[in-house]
Amino acid sequence: MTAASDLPSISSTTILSSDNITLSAHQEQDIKTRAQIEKIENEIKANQKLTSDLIPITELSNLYLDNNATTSTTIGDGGGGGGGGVNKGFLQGCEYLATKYTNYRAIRGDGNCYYRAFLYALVENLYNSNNDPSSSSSSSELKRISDYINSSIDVVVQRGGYDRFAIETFHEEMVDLLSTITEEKDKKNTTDDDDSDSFSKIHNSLNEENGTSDYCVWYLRVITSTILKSDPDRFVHYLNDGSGSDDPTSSSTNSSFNTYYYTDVPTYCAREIDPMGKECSMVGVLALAFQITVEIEYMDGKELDIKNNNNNNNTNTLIKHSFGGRLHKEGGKDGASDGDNVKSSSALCITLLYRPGHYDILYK
Amino acid sequence: MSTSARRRLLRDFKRLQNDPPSGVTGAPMDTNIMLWQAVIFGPDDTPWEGGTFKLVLEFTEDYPNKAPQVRFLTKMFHPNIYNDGQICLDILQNQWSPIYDISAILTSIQSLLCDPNPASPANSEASRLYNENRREYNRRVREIVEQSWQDDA
Repeated sequence: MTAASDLPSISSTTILSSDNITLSAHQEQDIKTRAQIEKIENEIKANQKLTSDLIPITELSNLYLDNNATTSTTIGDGGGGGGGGVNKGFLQGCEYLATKYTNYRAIRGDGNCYYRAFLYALVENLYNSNNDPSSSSSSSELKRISDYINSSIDVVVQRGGYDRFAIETFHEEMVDLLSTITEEKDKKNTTDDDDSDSFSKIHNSLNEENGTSDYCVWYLRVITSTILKSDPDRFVHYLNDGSGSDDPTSSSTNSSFNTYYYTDVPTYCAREIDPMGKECSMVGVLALAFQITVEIEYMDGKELDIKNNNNNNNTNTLIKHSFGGRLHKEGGKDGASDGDNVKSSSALCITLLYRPGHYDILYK
Repeated sequence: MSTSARRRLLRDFKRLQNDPPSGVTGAPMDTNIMLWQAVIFGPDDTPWEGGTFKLVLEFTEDYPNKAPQVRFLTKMFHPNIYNDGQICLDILQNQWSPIYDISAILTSIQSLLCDPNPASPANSEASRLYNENRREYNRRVREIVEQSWQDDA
């Protein structure tokens, strides 16, 4: 048995752990920590919608102008501060984005942003997918995803090991959301309503607190976990993202600060995917890129090499990766492609913007 | 969706009645489904055997996206339970997931009784005795078990 004080990891509740600290001080610290976390969460809730309205991409650079450098609340859970050098890279990135995209949609920075961005962009894509009447395949995308989600409950129970009772509410919410899209699409096709008006019903329901968005976000987490657990050998080597602690035996439960070295997929899922508010790591992104293509522009603040403009396309652009797309066709194998690979056969493609610790949606 | 928490709590309650886990019981207070009282029985063949430990669970409209506040009403002596009954348990804090219903919460707390986590001590004396003097620790636990019967009286 290891004495508590010998453990290497630091946790919010053990930060003052030692015999010379009185119990009340210890607990007081714990209560303060939790109160502070709650205060931050409430601030985020009050200041950021779950999914914002469309914002012109040109406004993105306002977040990185010098006088705004320290106001990180506006850009979600990735900090925006830093020296001028860092901002310069971001400003160049914004400039580049403005040449390719028209708008972005800000997602609340509560640790669920990847899943929430994925959900919203997927819903929006499905809603718009039959705007092209010449293509019969595009309207079937909604049916394809609906079928996948409808039958997913059995898969997540059998392969993910989830309790049907505990998750069926979340599954039902996701199924309902997809039926709503079908209904609203039908309405749109039979009337001359303005597009944006008929989608606004869905937009509003995806902005209700403790409602559809959260329920579906959590169901996406369940699907992500299930995909990871269904093929652990494929994912196990990528669990630690290079950020794990050096000591594989170190573990601590009540901590937001410690890193944890993962050696198996189920533990990883229980700690990093299943809890709400845990940011989605690359392995989660890879797993969740099921059935559709996810493109991500990476803006990490690194300065772009403008000098080589026109000579080499790669030097003055942000790095873009694309993941997934119709995995089921290949029997669930072969997830990420690096852009040079075969184009995805899926008509569904969502584009997200990554900034350190945060994801938003991009629009062309 | 403002009643989603209440809907889920009703399901949890039905589940608890139809498929009761061994060694724990729970039910909402008469007037308020957001406030539950529960009892955890000390597991057999452990120093906790025979104890009846009362808890109160407080839910918010965020449930099940947020964990409930859970607190022992019975006086406890355990490395991960504060003097005021607050519990230091990962799934009630940063490892919370909507996967846990009330049955799961109560059974997790029950297993915490016999399987403390030395990494997050909430009661330094209990933690020290658990690590250094298990015999004395067990004696203190037995005292708590006997006290729990008096609370019932």
